Amino acid sequence: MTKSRLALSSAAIFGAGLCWLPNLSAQVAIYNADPTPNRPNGSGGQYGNPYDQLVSVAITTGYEDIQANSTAVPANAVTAPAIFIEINVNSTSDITSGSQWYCDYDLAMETIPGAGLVTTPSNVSNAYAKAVGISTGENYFINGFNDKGTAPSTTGGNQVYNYSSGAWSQVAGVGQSNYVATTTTITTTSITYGIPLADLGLSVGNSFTFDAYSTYGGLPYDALDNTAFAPTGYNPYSGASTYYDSATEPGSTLATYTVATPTLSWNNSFAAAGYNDGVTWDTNDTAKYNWNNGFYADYYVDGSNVVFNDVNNATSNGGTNSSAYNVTLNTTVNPGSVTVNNSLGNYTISGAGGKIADAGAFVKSGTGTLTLGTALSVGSMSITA
Amino acid sequence: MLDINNNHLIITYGASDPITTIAGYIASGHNTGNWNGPGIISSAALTNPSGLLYGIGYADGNDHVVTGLTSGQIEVAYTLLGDANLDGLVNGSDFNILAANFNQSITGWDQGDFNYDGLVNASDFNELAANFNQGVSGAASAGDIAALDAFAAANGLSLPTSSVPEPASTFLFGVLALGGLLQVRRSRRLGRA
Repeated sequence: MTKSRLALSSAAIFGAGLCWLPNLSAQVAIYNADPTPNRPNGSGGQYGNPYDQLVSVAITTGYEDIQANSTAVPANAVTAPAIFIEINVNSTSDITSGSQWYCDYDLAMETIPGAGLVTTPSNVSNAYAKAVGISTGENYFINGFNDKGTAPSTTGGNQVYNYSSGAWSQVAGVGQSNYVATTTTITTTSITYGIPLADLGLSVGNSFTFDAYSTYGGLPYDALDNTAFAPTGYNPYSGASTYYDSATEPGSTLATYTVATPTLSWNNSFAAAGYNDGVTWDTNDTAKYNWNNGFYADYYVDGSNVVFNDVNNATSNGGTNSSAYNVTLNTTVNPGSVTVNNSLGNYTISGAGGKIADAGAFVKSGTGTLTLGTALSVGSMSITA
Repeated sequence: MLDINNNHLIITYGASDPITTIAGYIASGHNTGNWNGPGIISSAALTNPSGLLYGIGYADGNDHVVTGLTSGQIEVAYTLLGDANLDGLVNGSDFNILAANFNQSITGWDQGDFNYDGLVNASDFNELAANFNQGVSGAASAGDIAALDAFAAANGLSLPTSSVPEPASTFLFGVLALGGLLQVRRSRRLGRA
């Protein structure tokens, strides 16, 4: 099993045969296809999903990611606060068939505990004409898919269903219409889809549980339908689907995540390279991943709590960018708060027309200096050194 | 340290007015004029450009001294010593504030305490006088000069001369007038404590 680091904000254990979380602190992990699944092959394949890739999460910003290996956050992340889910697969063959791409992965969620009241794993009809067997109270499931297309395709979509009054109904869509609020991005080895928080009944500060994670697809080309894609020992399923469920998958449990105001730490350990220009603090700029959201490089969005410290910035503390403490701010930013804790270097924030406006709290600590070349307006100020 | 250099900052506070804390940060950073203490400092204030005296001024909106600064706000700004109302000028308006609070234990830059010692006294007057008419694009009015002179005379103050800057052409007259006034004042100093 190939696995990468994962950041969960709360304990989460997925099925032992499904995936494995060695560290349940705040990490996200992505699990690629298991070539040797050791779970039983259930009739209908409910235990046979080898593509338990997902799984991630640390919804730290409210704007993005459940992803971990993504190199860019879709631009619409900044126009509509959303959860972006990236599923990485083992190889191209997992989501393609010849010149066509087929990909269908789903995520069941519980955004309000018990709201769904789906009490049995038996099939429950929904507008997507799929029999969904999600148990134990999930009130949403998200279906991200790419029906057909020439690779690489972006013609897929998302469908979101809400369970209420004993039935599933599609959110922001009718029948099998694509859910068009966000764009699904599909590459040779991953599919990313985004769902606005509002359409999941969520807002920043809320928590949700995501329970089962499964693959499944529309006819006739489900990723798991085709025996050519199935690993050894897997009995591919065709026909009506049954979602595997974390409640029944051995060793699995629920994971809870909180959609929280992001905290972004200035992270210029390296000079300009790729998405990191090494100097600029601006807003919604997907070309400037000069921050770290606690898990990986990120870009700044207003409302974030920002931190300037020595970690990865001081050359004596892991950094290699000698200019890491020089921050260029040429625009007005509105962070939730500003925390500056520096002792190994002196920060300078300056730039033409730059302004830090309407920050809630400003906290300065550490023996280093922060020199402002820009105006600053804050709600409170604490200076301890 | 927070070095505001030559900038300003605004604190919009809630129920509790942190002006005492902010003033403490500035006084601590001032460190008797070295601007190297913990707290809020201004590296630009150390340079005294053009021979003028600069520092960190601050004002509480509740004092209603600074135009546009509302209750619930504090402004901290790099500015000329003596600029009580943070308008970038040192003129009669600032002098009037100082005069109204003179020799009183009134704290606050916007009340005339320009050296952060918790008093409005001769030291503050001297700093204001040294920068008087600076930042102004024109001559000091005869009335302002007369008021300053009269105040100094009435309070036995020695108007400073060493810090009076070289006049810029645009307000040459005013500064010369003040310089002349200072000379006169020295000659008839009353010497009262």
